[in-house]
Amino acid sequence: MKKSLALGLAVLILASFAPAAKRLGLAAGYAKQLGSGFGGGLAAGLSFGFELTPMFAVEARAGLITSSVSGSPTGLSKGSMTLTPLTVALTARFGKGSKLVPYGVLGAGYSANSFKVDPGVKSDWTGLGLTLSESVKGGLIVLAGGGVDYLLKPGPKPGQGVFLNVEIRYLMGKADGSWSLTDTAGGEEAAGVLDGLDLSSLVFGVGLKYGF
Amino acid sequence: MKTKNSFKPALAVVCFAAFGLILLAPSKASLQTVRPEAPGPADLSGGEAFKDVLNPKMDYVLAKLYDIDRVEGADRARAFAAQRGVEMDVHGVRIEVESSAQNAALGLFPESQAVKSRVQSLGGFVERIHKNLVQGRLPIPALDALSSSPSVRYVRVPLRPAPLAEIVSEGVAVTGADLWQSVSAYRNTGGGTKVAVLDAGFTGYQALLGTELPSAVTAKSFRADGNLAAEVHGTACAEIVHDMAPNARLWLVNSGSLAELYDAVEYLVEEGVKVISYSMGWWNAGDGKGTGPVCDVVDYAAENGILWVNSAGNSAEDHWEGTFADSDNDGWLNFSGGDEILQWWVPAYTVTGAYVNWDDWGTWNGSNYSGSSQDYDITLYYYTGGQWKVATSSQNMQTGNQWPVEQVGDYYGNAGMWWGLAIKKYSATRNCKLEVFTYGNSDPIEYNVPQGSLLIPSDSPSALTVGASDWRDDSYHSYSSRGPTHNGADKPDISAPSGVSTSTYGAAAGPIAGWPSFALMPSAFYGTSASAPCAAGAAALFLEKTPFTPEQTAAVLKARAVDLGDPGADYKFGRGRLNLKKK
Repeated sequence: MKKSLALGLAVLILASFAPAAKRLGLAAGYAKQLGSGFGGGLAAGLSFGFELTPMFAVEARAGLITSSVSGSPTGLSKGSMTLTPLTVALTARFGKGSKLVPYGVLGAGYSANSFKVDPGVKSDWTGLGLTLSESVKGGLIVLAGGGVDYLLKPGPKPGQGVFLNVEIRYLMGKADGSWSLTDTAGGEEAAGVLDGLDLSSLVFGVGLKYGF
Repeated sequence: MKTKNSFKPALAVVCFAAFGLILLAPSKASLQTVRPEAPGPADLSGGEAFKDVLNPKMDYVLAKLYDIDRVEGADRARAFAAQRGVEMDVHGVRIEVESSAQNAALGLFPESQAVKSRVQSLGGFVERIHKNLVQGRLPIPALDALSSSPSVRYVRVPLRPAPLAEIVSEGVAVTGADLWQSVSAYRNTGGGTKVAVLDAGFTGYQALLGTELPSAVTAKSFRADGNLAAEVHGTACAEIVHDMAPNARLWLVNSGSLAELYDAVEYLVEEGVKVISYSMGWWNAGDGKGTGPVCDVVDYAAENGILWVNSAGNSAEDHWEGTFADSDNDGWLNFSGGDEILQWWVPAYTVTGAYVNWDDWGTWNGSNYSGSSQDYDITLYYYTGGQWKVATSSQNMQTGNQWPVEQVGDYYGNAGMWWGLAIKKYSATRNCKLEVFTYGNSDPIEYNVPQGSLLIPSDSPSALTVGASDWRDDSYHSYSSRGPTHNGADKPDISAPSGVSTSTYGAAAGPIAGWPSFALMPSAFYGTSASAPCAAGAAALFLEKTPFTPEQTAAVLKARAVDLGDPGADYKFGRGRLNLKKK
């Protein structure tokens, strides 16, 4: 996977030197986690894309999604989750040349994840002489979505300028985690794994894109 | 002879039996409060060997019973049986038979079925079979015929454990259990831990449901007579477990004999119990090195994921051990110098006796020991009119196949008096290391050796063995049995609060100025009997709140213990006092 990402990144860097039209975007919004026990959180993303054909483009995006976790006896404890999805997607644009351009995206990527146990929960256990630790590994994700680009300020050429962007993305992914509880007195440890945590989310975003 | 008041639980049982060798009718006037001078050293030179011709496959009491029945008649035999605590009814005498161990290595005991058939053909009936143990009743005249059967390895009066009472709830705050009770469980969806209090009986538990005990418990008796209310001791133990772990689901189970104990534990394994609290102890039921039939039960529980929490015993002041020495070559053990009688003081109407075993058990093969060929016998004396008189003796045969054990009791006097024990080498090729446990004594016995006074199965490496410390100030309770085991292993593992409040025994009082002895204090639950359920409750609470296994929980309890006594693990407190707080 990492090799694929590196390859994708290399292609994008090379493509950025190509004469095709490119687009740089910045978006923020709200992410609704679909897995049980996860609450909503903020989402942000930075994207770079370039046209393959007048209709299709490739887009690379680095995102950041935060989520609260309410905690469950079999999953993660109460705490906060941060997902950092790195994705490459194929974009199909419809109605090029008009001010309002709807598009659809389909892609895949890798999400680096981190989880922090709620400080209150952690200190409860620390107060009883136990160290609580939980972590979530990274995992593959696939994405599908759609949106609309609205031309706010035209540029010197068609497809260039500043666009207002509204979109919705579905990120589907699972990841494994682990937990441990360690007695500080003697070092005795109870530990286990958390298989297939559902980290899927719906991300609603608003942003600006700059085409050049 | 030490005469100071001891800090010992009242293990006394007031006996109202109507006969016995030294019994007089109870009278108020005979309740002595002034103790006569302790008798001086006693020399038993010239004493004659008293061993009768015995069937080597029968214990001394049964052989004697058989002989009395044959020679003196059934009435005299019934009297002897009652005096020696042998259970009898119209069907005969209750016995425990070890069948021959053919195929024992394969876990098969076909000879037990043969024993059953033989018992039935002799007019008896079988109550219970577990592996090589067959428990039943048999007419006295048939004892010799049964023991002569090739399917029979040995016939004895059933071994019985003793409650380690009487000696709560202050342990909750002392150990920090209250801090844990309000914590949400981590990664545990099972609710309260399943805890069994395995004991002698649970008199009055129904009245405590919903208050001192959970609103519902599972209660079951494995005694042959089905009597769950045979003792009140278990009810107090269950109270302590509930105080420590209010959400724990309790199984109140009682048993008496070994076969009943095996069946009870198999039932608890099937029920998915995670902790067993056992405030009982056995004498003469193993070599003190963690092997034997009772330790075998503990191992079985541990193999099935159960944490077995066991009282260390209340016998530190009732224990002597030493190598046989006979400086005057008269065949009798010299306990010190020329003194051949080990003596102890017993209050009026308190049952007394002694258990003796020595280091010739042979090898434990999973169902029995290979046996002893070093034969020692014992005699119980009482002191009256300025001289020692024989009360009774025990002369089991040790010809290579029997256990190295002798037992005398249960005697009492209607006035306080000195009792004594002598040990004779009957036929032995070496000087064995002997161990004596007495009961009924109000003070430490003469030549008391507190070390190594653990009761069976607290010597088991599979058990979390718990000694007693005072809930007020963590002081050592002098009766609490001490390690090490006979193979030098550190025991007890930890100590836990004793002298605590239960509704069963009453509220713990603070130290009472001028009160002569804690043993005489009103109320409170003293003894390692109170300590074990406190530790069992702590383990149940820890298991309820965390994802640790029972085995890990035992390790955590040891690591968190507050070090008491000598730095590090010692033979009084183990790793220290039970503690759930952050260390």
